Amino acid sequence: MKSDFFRDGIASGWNHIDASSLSGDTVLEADVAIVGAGAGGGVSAEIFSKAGLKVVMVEEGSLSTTRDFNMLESEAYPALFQESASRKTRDKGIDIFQGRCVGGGTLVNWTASFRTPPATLKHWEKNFGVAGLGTEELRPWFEKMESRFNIKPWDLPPNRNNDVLRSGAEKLGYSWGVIPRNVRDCRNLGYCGLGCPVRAKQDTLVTSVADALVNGATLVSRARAERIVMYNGNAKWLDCVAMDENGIHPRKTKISIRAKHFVLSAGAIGTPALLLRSRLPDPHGLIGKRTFIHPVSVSGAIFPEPVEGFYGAPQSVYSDHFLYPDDGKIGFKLETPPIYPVMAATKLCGFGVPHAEFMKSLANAQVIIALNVDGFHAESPGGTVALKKDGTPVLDYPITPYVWEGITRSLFTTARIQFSAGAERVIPFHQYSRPCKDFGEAEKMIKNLPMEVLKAKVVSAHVMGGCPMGGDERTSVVDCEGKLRHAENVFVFDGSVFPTSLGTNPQLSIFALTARNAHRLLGNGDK
Amino acid sequence: MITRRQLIKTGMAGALFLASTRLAHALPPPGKTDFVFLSEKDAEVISAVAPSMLEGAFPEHGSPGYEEAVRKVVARVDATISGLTPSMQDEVGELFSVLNFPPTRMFVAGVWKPWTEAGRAEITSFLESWQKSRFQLLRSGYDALHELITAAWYSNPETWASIGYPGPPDVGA
Ligand SMILES: Cc1cc2nc3c(=O)[nH]c(=O)nc-3n(C[C@H](O)[C@H](O)[C@H](O)COP(=O)(O)OP(=O)(O)OC[C@H]3O[C@@H](n4cnc5c(N)ncnc54)[C@H](O)[C@@H]3O)c2cc1C
Ligand code: SF4
Repeated sequence: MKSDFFRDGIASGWNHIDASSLSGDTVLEADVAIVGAGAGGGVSAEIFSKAGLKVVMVEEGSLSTTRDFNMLESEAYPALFQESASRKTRDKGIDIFQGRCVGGGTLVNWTASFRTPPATLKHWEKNFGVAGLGTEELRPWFEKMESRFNIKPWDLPPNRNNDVLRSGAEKLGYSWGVIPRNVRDCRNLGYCGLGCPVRAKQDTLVTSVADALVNGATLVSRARAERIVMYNGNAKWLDCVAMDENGIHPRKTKISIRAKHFVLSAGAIGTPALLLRSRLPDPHGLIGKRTFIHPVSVSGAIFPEPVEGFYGAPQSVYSDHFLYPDDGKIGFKLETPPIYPVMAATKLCGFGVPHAEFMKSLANAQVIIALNVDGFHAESPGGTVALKKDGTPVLDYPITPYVWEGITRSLFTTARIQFSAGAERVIPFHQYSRPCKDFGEAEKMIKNLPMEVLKAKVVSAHVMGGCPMGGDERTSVVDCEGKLRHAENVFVFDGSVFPTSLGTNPQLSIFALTARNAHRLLGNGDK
Repeated sequence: MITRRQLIKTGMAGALFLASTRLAHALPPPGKTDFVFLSEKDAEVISAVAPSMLEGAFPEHGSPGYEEAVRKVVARVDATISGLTPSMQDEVGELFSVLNFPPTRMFVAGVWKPWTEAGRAEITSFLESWQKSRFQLLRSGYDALHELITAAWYSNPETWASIGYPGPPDVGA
């Protein structure tokens, strides 16, 4: 087996416990227990361990490292994603991608790294009493995290998949921009979504989690945090259960962590679920509500020339031209996904010959996604996290007519861009759709597509909210520093604290807000 | 228990679907197989449905590669399902129960013959009717079959040449 620096670190004595191989119940002590080793968990662990605190990270997923990343979907999905990359909303109407591994979402994400849009921060201030999080106040934190994760606008030419978005937008007079990415010596391979095989992506596995381990933190992988146990308004214990070696069934082995502070970074869906299982005080019934997903519509196109959307930095061009419509309708951000065979084949609607025809043209296929910005309007109140009988979470997300309108409108826009850039055929991902030869034909067809779940393909890779922060105890689960309102020593540092969706890819917002709040918890103020 | 609301939401076909899964689960357990998750009967469903789902990509019935292709798809579907969470495995189990239990196979899926005897046209029209069903539950059943079977097929590197995918690049040591 190839060695890699993370394995070498473990061999040299980093504290890692693979809970699936524990032979008996285990008790650990810490100053700070952190649930989840993703974006928020990684950044927290680095900051607290650097401050000299004893940190224990608990991660339900496995520890997979650079040498394990072989760019095969058949291995990456079960090993690195929630529910084998087949997580769905309760009615199965929306496909949800989330990471589940040391590194969390950052290990499998597509490296787009944007600051929180100023309009989003203003909206939070005005509508949710969020204080101290203005664009200027957050700026030093964005700068710190941009330098920590080596975030810079992508300076190589975009791959053809992204260049179609650029050239189509340019021809139509739509604004577009180059995406900043968190990479170092990136070889432009394009497999960021399956774990970077050359340690170029600055995910939290190879940065913060590794550094936390260097600082003496302990990482427990394959352990699921089940509940927080409280006494007199203070959390005392975190009860965890070991998973089996495939990460499927919980074992009987328990891991109990006694800590002074508890940081919840299990991500949206994950953190609300842990709070619900723990039955912590929630007088206004807010936990898990207002979960947002940036509902995504998908438009495929076939080009006369090769596009090879499986190779090259997966996201390097975006357009925010339609982000803030002035008629009060829902806005959307335009980006592209990588075009891997299994992802393409499973999301592409239809079956038999038409499906096979598209797949045969995979090398010439191009895809644009539109991320609809939910949560800013009374008619997009988001979804609700609930627990299944076995205690695992499920998201109920009804798509309102307001959101469907955005999905339809975005399909017009993406088809127009694809044709302008020279597409031969455009195929909106919908069960009633067929390949169209020009925009007129596409326009007529899209108008008549029934907008219902499991007819239109709707996906999400950005789950946010469910533990909203805010200034008012009646509408927020945590305060503006991430402290749980009804417990003295429990903090939420992850994507679940956003009171609406962000209107952009979440990782940099999570890094920055976590860094700020972790420093505040240390009593460092904004240093 | 099926609640009134569920009944209204999913309609009669859905209710029958839900009820039948309870019935089917009461049937005697299937015999031992080479699979981790699938029963012999479940494997028959996939063997029958995959060539229609993948028509245009799948070897023609009776051609030399056909049997082998069926075996491989079934094995990969089995591997995928056995990697799913317990609650997802339960749901997939319910789907197979509906497809295998003759009354629901006939009245909910509209497939009159056993899967091993059903013709291509019959299976294709079953897929179409679930794909565009007015019942969300049946559409989700179609979606599950679609996802399992297309993933099983296109995750196999042997199919990549046919779709112009050269596979992951060599990244060296
Ligand atoms: C395919 C994909 C592409 C994406 N592309 C981008 C992109 O280009 N740019 C961008 O900014 N964002 C992108 N994202 C989203 C981004 O990665 C996430 O928003 C971000 O990682 C969320 O951070 P988090 O800290 O909230 O949770 P996560 O990073 O998801 O971490 C949560 C961790 O907690 C673990 N966990 C959950 N429950 C428990 C429990 N009970 N016990 C123990 N551990 C638990 C999970 O296994 C997981 O590892 C993408 C996501 C995906 C899946
Ligand atoms: S493009 Fe390739 S080398 Fe660059 S970060 Fe992604 S997977 Fe790594």
